[in-house]
Amino acid sequence: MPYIAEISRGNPSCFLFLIDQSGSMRDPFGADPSKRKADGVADAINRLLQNLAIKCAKAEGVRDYYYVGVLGYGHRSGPAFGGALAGRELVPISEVAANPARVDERVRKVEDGAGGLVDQTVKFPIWFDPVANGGTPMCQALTRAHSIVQGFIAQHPDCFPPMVINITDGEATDGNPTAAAQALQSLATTDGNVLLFNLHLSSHKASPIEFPDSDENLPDNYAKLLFSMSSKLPEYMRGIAEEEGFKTTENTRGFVFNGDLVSVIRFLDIGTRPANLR
Amino acid sequence: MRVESETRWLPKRGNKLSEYEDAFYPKETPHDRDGSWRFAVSDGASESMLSGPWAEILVKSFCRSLVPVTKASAKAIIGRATMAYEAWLKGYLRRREREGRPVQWYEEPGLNVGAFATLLGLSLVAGAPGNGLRWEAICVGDSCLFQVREDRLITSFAVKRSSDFSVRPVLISSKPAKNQVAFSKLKYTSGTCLSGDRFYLMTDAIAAWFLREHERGEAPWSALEASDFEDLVSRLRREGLMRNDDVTVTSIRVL
Repeated sequence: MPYIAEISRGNPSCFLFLIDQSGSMRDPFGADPSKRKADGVADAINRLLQNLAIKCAKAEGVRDYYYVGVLGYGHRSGPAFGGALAGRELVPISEVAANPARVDERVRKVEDGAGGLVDQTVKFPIWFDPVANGGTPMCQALTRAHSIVQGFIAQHPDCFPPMVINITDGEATDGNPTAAAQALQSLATTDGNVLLFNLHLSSHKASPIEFPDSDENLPDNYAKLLFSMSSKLPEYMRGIAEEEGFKTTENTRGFVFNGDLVSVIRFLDIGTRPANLR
Repeated sequence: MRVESETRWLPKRGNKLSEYEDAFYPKETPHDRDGSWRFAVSDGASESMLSGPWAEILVKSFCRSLVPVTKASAKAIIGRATMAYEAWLKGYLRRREREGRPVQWYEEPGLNVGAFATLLGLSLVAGAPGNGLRWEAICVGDSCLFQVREDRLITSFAVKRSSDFSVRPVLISSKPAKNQVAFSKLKYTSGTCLSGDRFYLMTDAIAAWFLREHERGEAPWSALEASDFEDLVSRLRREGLMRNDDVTVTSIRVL
């Protein structure tokens, strides 16, 4: 059975995020005009990195259960970490935790233990800033992802398969990404094939289509293309998605079309919750 | 009657000895408290911060209590343990500052949430009919007590079937306000023991194997007694017969 490998310091896995940084990401979400897509995605990725670091934190330090990379693609394409991690393709989570580009402080309400709420200043580390400029060289990003993931698998051939999550708001401007996507998904470890999930964001007030199991009800060819480029959800992830209220079948794919900020966060949470991290 | 005991333990494969997060008490020979004996094991949740120290405080608090075991006294023990933990935590945080290793942003949420662990406590007391011993046990979570008499398993507490082990057992929190569910699920049971009886206190990974073997008609206590512990655990993990997790077995013999 695939996708059951134990994730440990001796056998880490990896997440690679491909982030569309084209000009249109400057536009707001269709459903929430107050939030620009680029800002929403940056916030969601920063929050995810934060949660991943917290999940891996023990008293002696952060355990390197995961390596993480963020690749932006737009006018400029490449690794998108800022600060001390600038230029790095895949970084162990302990180094991610130790090197945010900066740490913002935000005030949050927390329970005071006696039934009330108090203001607590919470540190909000930032690794990744929004960028929105240029075209959408998605093929190039997928090709670079292929080489990064291939390198990781060479070092960790038995790992829980790497997961690539592509977040985009539009069509590729450098060709049909199908071949590059298939090449990426054909990479495999002894525990299964690399997973490629696609999250499409909308500028229109359209209902998100989340975790479909066929392309029947998808509105256009572009949506069908992204669907065909998305991996099926592994068994354990179907369980997580169902816990979150989604109906799944064995054909359900890791794909969201016309996503809003809520579906971005939910998708990232479902995708990155560990199956076997102990 | 005499009581002999021994605890064997191993951290999860891939972890260092210092990363073991179960706890057990007593550490060596059983303390004879005027004809009564106490034992406890606890399984610290690997997802929470500082669950090892919390598990240690729980087992020690149970074993050092002088009040007879009841649901109410168990809750009081847990209440006192949370205070002991708070005091320990203050000292720990001060030590970290002194060592130039202050708490980092990624540890804060874990520390705020608190530590979590199971607790299984057993007390053996004189006073059963026929000069026997009475035993009483409490538990929260999925650490298990087994009683074996003449090669038969006669007690399995509190998990009865190997299929009942769940991924998310009830756990005791180091924060008193979070223990309502744990208290509502706290279990108590009692019985008598005869000379020759064996008791085993185990944390869940090995307890699940033990129960599965018993359900198959085997006598896992024989394997435990006869085998080198490390060899046995390595083999079971390798063959996929036991989940890779911290392992703790306290074996008690009533003579």
